[in-house]
Amino acid sequence: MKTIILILILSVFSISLIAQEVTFDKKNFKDNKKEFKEAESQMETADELMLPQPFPRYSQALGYYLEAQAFNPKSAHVNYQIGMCYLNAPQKFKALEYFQNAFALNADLNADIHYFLGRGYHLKMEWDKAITHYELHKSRIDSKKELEALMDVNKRIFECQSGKELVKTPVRVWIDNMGKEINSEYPEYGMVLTANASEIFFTSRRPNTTGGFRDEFIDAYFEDVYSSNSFTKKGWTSAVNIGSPINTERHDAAVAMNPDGSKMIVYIDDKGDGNLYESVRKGNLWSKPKKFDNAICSPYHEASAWYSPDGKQLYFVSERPLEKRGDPKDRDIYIASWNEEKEEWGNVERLPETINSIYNEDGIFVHPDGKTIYFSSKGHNSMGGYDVFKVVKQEDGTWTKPENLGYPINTPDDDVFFVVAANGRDAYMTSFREDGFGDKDLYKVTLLGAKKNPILSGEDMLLANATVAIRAVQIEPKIEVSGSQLMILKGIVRDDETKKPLLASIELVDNETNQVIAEFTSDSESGRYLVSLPGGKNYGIAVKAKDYLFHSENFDVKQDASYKEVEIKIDLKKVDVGKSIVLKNIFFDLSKFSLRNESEIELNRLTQLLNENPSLRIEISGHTDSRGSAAFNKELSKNRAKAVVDYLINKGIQKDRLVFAGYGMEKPIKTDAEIAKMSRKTDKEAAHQQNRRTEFKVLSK
Amino acid sequence: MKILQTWMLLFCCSFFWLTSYSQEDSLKVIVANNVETDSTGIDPEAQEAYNEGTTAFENKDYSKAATDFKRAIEISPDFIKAHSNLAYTYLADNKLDLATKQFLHISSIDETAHLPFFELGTLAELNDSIELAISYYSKAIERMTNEKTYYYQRGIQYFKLQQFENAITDFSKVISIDNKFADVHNDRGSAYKLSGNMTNAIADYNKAADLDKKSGLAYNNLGSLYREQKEYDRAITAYDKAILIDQNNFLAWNNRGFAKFEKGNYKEALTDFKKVILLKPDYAIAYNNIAGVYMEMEDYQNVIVSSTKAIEKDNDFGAAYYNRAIGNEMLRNEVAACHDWNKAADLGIRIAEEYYTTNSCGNLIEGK
Repeated sequence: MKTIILILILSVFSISLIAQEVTFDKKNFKDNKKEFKEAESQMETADELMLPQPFPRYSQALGYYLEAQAFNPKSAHVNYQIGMCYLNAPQKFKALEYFQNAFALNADLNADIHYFLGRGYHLKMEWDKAITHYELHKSRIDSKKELEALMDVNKRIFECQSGKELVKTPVRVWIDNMGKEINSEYPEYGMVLTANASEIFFTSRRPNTTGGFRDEFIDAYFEDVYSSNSFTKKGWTSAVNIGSPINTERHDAAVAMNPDGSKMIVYIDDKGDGNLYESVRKGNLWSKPKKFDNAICSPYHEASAWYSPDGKQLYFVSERPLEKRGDPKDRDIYIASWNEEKEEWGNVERLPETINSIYNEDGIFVHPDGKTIYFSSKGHNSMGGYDVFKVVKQEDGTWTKPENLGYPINTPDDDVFFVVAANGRDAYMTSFREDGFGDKDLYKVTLLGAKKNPILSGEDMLLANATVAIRAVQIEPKIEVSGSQLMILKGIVRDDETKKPLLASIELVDNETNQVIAEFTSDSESGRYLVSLPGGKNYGIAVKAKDYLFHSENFDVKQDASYKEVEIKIDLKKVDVGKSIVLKNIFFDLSKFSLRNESEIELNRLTQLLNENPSLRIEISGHTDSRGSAAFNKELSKNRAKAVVDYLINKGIQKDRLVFAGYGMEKPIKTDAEIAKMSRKTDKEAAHQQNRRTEFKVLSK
Repeated sequence: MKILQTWMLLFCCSFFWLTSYSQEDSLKVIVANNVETDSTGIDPEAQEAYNEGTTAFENKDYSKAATDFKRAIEISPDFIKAHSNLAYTYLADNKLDLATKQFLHISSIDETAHLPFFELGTLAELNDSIELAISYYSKAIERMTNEKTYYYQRGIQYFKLQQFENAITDFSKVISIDNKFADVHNDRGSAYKLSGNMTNAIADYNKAADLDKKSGLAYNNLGSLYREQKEYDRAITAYDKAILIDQNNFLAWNNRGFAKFEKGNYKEALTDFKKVILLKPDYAIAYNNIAGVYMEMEDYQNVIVSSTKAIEKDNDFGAAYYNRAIGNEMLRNEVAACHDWNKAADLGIRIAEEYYTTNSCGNLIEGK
C-alpha cells in the first residue's frame, strides 16, 4: 500500500514535469541551428561510444555528453547517459544528480530509472531513499522471468540495510592523502608495503609509463609500478617508476610484497588470463618476474595474492571454477603451501565458505602477525560493491566470522587494496576523494581503535579523623588492544670493524619446540633486514655469515603483547682473538645450573662453529645480575659456564680448547647505578635480564 | 614542626576522650588536678618541685619543667604523676624518644597504668609503626577493657593495614560502649565498604549522618559508595546532602561532579568541577576532572589546557599526563602525546604504557 501511494505521488510529480523535457529535435532549436547541430553531433558521438560491450567507453563519452548537456540541459536521454557514465567512473557520487534530472524530465524514459536512482542515493548513503527506489524497481520486476534482476535488487536493498547499520557506529580513523610525493593527477592504487611500511610500491597510470602507451578501452596510460620510502623519517620520497624488468610496455601492477621487501608479486595480464608473477630483489635490482607454478596460476584469472610472514604460505584469489558450485567467475580466496622438498607451491585449499561468500572476494592481504587477513568482498554485510573485511585465524585453526571494517573505511563504492602495517595502526587504501590530486589516490588510514577514555578521580575521607583524603581514582579504562600482537625486528647487519653491510642469514627458532621456523637473509647491498615475530612464541634468532662469529638474540613475544618495533644494528665480529659474543639462547632454571632443553639449538650452533674452526680456543663465562649474595652468584655463574663446557665436551669438542669462568655480578652490562635511574619496573627487569648471561670469548685461533 | 603539630593533634584527641576541655585547658587542668589529688602521702619537697614544674610547663619552659619533675621523682620515686608529667613535658618539647622511654617506664612501675600504653600507641603512629601502635593499644585494652578510645584507635590502625575484619570488630566494640558516636559509624561503614559489605556500609553511613547532622562526611562517603556501585542518582542525592550541610565541602562538589560525569551529564559535571576550583584553587584533581569532561565533549584544546593546569598543581599526577596525551593525540600532536604517555607510564598508569607502544611512540619520538 505504501509503495502504491509512493508510485502515485511520484507519477503525479513526474507528469507535471514531462512538459519540461526538451528533446534533441531541430524543431526545438530553430533559433540556434548551428549550435544545435554541434551539440547533436556530440550526443551522437557519445552514444556511439556507449555501444561497445562489455566495455562501453564511459570516460570518453562523458565529455561529449557534458558538452551536449551544456547546450540542452533538458534532455532526459543526455542526463540519463551522463548518470550512467559517472556511475562507471571514479566520481560515482555525481551520477545521482543526472538520474534525478532525467527522471524529473521524463519518468518513463527508461524502465530501470528507479534502479539507477536507487544506485545514486545508495552511493550518497541516503539509505532510505535508495531502498524506496529499489523497492519501486523491484515491484516492476517479473520475478519468474527476471530472477537475476530480482536477486540483484534484493542484494542492493540488503546492502543499504547493512550500510544503515554500519554508519551508526563509524570507526575511529584518520584518513589522510599520502601527499604529492606519492599521488598525482593520474590514478594511483594497489599499494603494497614492507611490514613496517617504510617502503611502498604501488600501481599508477602516469605519462612516464614504460613505453608511454595508453589503454584505449579506458582512455588511460598503461599501468606501471612505482616506489617510495620513508627510511629517513622525513616523509615519503618522491615516487619513482621502478623500471625494467618489472615494468614493461604493457600493464604491470604491484600485487604483494613479503615483510622485508625482498620479494614482490606482480600481475601480468597474459592475454586476458591474468596471472601472478614473482620478482626477487638483490640490492636495488629486481629480477625478471617469474610466473608462479600451475598450482597457483590456473587457466582462470588470478590477480591478488599475499605471502604469509614466514613466506611458507601464499594466499591468493582465483576465479577457478569449483567442482560442486556453479559460477566459474566467482572470485574466491585460496591458500597454497610451499613444499620445501619439491621446491614448489602446492596443497592448494580454498578458504572456508564462512569467508568465501557466494559473491566475489578480492584484494587479499595477510598481516605480518600471520593470523589476520584482510580481504574485500561483495558479499557478507557489504554496504555496496566491495567492502574490506577482516578475519583472524584462531588457535584451533578455525577463522573468526568476517568483520566489516566499517564506515568510513568502507563506503557504498568498491573498497579494495586495503593493507595494514605491522603496527596494526597504520593502514593504507585507495580512494577517490574530492580533496585528492585527481582520480584515485593513495590514502593513509590511521586506525585509532576503541575510544580512549579519560581518567577522573574523586577523594573521600573514609576515616572521620584522618588528616589526608583517600583518593578514589576511576578504575583505569579497559584496554582494547587495537594494535597488533607482534614484534618487528629490523636493522642492518654490518661488519663490526669496517661497518660495511653484510649479506647474512637470519635463522628464526621457536625455542619451545626447538625448531627452525623460518630463514631470511639481510640485503646484500644495504645489509637491511626485517623479521616479523608474531605473538605467542619465545624466539631465538641467530644471524650468521661466513668467517664471522654468529650473533644471537632472544625475544619472548607474549600472545597478548602490544606491537613493538625493535631496531638492532648487528655488527658481526670476525673470528678473531679477544672477540666475544653473548649467547642469548642458553637457558637455565632459576638459581640452577642445569641446561634447559631450549638451549640445544644455540649450543649446537656453538659446536658447529668450533668444528668449523678446529684450532679455536674459547672461554665460556657465566654472569649474573646483582641481586642475591655475591658468593652465591659467583658460584652459580661458574657452574653454569661449566655446564656449557660439559655439553660441548659431550659433543666431541676437545677439553683443552675450552675454559670456563664464573664472574657473578662483577661484569654487568648495565650497572646498578644505571638501573637505579630507570623509572619503570619493566626497564629495570630488562636490564637485570641483560646482565644475566652466558658469553664466549675467543682465546686463540 | 609537622611532627609536633601532629602530636599536638593526637595529644588533644587523646584527652578529648577523657575530658571535655580544649587542648590548652586539658594540659593545665590535668597537671594542676594531679597535684591536688596526689598531695597526700607525698613528700612536701617533692610536691613543691612538682608544682614548680607545673608552673614552668604552663609557661612553656619545658626544660625547667623537666628538671623540676625529675627532682620531684628523685625525692619521691613513686610519685606517678611526676613521672607522667615528665613524659608529657618531653612530648611538649618534641623529645619523642625521651617521651617514649618515660611512658614505657611508667607502664613498668605502675602495673595498672593503661594511659601510657595509649600514648605509646599514638607515638608509634607518628613513626608510621602501625603494627607497634596496635600492640600498645592492645596492652592499654588489656589494662582497661572498657575504654572506647583504645578500641577506636586500634580499629583505625587495623583499617590502615587493610585488616578490615579486625577494624570492624574494634569499631563494633566502640559502638557497644557508645552507640551515639557518629565518627565510629562512619569509619565502620568505610571498613564494611572496603571489605565488600555494602549493605552494612550504607547502614553505618546513614547512622553516622543521622547522629551528626552537622557533618557532611558520611553523606560524602555514602555518595561515593553509590557512585562506585554505578547508582548515580542515589550518589548525587547523597552528595547534595553533604553540600547542603557545608557549601564549602569541595570534596563533595568534586565527587558529585564525578558522579554526574559517569552518568553522562557532562555540562553539570563541569559546573561542579569549576565550583571546586573556586573553593580550592590548588586542587589538581578538579582540573584533571575538567580535562576529562572536555574530552567527552571532544573539546581537545581545553583538555590540554585543563590537564596542563592539573600538572602545574601536581607534577606527579599520572592521570593528568594520560588525559593530556589523549588530547594531544586527538589534535594530532602525536609526538607530544607520546611524551605524555611515557610520563604517565612512569607515574604508574599502566594503560599509558600500552598506548605508548601501540601508537609506535618509540619510532615517533626517535623520528623527531
